[in-house]
Amino acid sequence: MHIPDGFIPIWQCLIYYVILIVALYFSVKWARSNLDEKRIPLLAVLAAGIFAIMSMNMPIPFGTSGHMVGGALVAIVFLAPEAAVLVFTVVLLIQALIFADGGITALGANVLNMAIIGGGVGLYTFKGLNGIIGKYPAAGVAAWLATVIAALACAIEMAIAGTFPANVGIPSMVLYHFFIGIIEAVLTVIVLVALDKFRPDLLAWNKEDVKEIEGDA
Amino acid sequence: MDNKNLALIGVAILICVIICVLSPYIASGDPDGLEKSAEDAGVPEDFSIEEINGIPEAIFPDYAFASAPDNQVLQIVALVVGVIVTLLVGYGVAYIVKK
Repeated sequence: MHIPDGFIPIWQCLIYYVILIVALYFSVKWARSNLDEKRIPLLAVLAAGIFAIMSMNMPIPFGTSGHMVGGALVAIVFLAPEAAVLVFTVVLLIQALIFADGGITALGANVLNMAIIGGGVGLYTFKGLNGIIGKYPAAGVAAWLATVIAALACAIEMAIAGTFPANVGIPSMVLYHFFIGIIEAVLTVIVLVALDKFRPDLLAWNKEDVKEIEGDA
Repeated sequence: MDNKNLALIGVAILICVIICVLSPYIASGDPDGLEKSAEDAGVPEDFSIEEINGIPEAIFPDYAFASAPDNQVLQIVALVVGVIVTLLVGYGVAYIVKK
């Protein structure tokens, strides 16, 4: 769902950039007190992994394709959407500048959709469901919902921009990302299972008081 | 950096390189969800809402060498470069904001 240059008028891009700067302010604050020797490399490898997996478009119905995004994954690994903002600002900036994937002018909107909305919906859905259906099913549902809601937000932005109208954009975006979300859910759970097996110390859910997470439900 | 974190980075690079080697051959070339939605709404392929100037040329447009966009081996090279750049920038950014 990388929005290219030219899909959003510049004055609206500036609004999304302001949102990005505010989000980065909170993310840097979060990073200062939460990153350490272990989590700096973790953040870096998640960024690299997300860059790589985004090249792997998988076919979905309707002659369309989609790839994992990873906003929910990063937010769940760190139990912080701020981490997703940092990771996606790096990944999306590199993709826009070096690979012409996603617009430079649309960077703010793309971080908003994939990291702030994707990470936020992913994390809070996970927290809400964790105590009820268990952590892996909760993470799967969270990743799926994050993809669909981010796509919905993207469709609304396209309608505000005047690029394509909501009555076509919303059903199309939600329909395609209903399927892309399944890819997102499966890969998110696989990465979480692997991390929990080999490096459980890296998962914030193993560090934080479990009751506190369940208490949010 | 201790061995556990070096192992994490090593395994991550290995997985990324495997994805980079496979992607040019097996990734679907179909339009993604946003492109397809734009198509559904009849948005032309070279659509731009207003003229945007001053955007630098990408070194590897669409994850390929501009001189040989269909060369799959060079696409792998472009992707691996991207992984390494992302890893280094990610590490650098995390390190600097922590300081």
